[in-house]
Amino acid sequence: MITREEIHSKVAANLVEVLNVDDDQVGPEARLQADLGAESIDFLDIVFRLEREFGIKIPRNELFPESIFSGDPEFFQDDKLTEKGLAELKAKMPFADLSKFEENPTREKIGDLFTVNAIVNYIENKLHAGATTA
Amino acid sequence: MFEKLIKRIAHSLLFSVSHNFDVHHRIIFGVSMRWIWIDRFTEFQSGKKAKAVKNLSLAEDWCIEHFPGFPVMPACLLLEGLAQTGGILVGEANQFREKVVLAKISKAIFYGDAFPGQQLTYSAEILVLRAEGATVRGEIHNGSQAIAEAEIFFAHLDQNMSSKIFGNDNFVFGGELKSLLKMSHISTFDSSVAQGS
Repeated sequence: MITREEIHSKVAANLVEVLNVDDDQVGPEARLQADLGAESIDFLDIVFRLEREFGIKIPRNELFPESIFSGDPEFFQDDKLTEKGLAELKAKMPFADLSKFEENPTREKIGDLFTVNAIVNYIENKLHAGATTA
Repeated sequence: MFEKLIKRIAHSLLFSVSHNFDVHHRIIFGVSMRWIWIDRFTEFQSGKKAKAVKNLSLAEDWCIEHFPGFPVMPACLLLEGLAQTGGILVGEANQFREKVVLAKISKAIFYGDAFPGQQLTYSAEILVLRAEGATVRGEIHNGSQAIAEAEIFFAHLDQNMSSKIFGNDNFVFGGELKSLLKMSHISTFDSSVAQGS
């Protein structure tokens, strides 16, 4: 079974190539957009590469869910996430650390949830789920 | 996020879109413009890989400015030829239903220059093909000499979103790009085996 460190190492190597950043920038807490300069098109590129790297299927909206960005008025009020929005976020992104975000859940901070660690968590869950069902 | 993606793509299209708008514009005003950077397909395996050739002529416009007295094909035009080879490969994989646009060149390495009189071979291979888009790896050779290699990421403009912005007409494959396959006189749509010229 691949270790968490190995997953991180492979994720980091792919991010270095996709986002043209240095090795020392892709630590566990690095945020894809704010710290690594990822743009929307890069998210698709990342998904494609992770699929190839780990031999997994990443369905659309699973790693980078779009519903939460759709501006649904049920999810947002005055640019703050409603309880329903927060529940949606937790349901869609169980691999993200929301503890700090929940203190002030604004729309502009959602992007900060996409960290290197969140991707590693997602891959780790995915691989373990695959191993369990195999 | 997806809306942002569409906007980003719409503003950064290199493959087909900008020139097609330009083509339409020029046709309206009675001036035709051609933006074809491959001459003929020589191999085409549907959904897998393709090869095309491009003959470089001293009569081409870029020779005037790039550079005076030392004509060398601009690297961006080399990549355009590779993007057209790969883009048509990706488009044909879905029977040209999708609007295939170049979204990103993830990697490009240049090994040498290309000069008038040479025949370039563009080789493209699909690495990933999904509903949202495709990744293609490509190489450019002059005979046995490697000129460049690149990895190109194509996006499929989402049918619903793009129809709001661009209409239902598939402007990417509406004209010459799609015709290129027919003009190459090779079987494509059901070919599982490479077919030489």
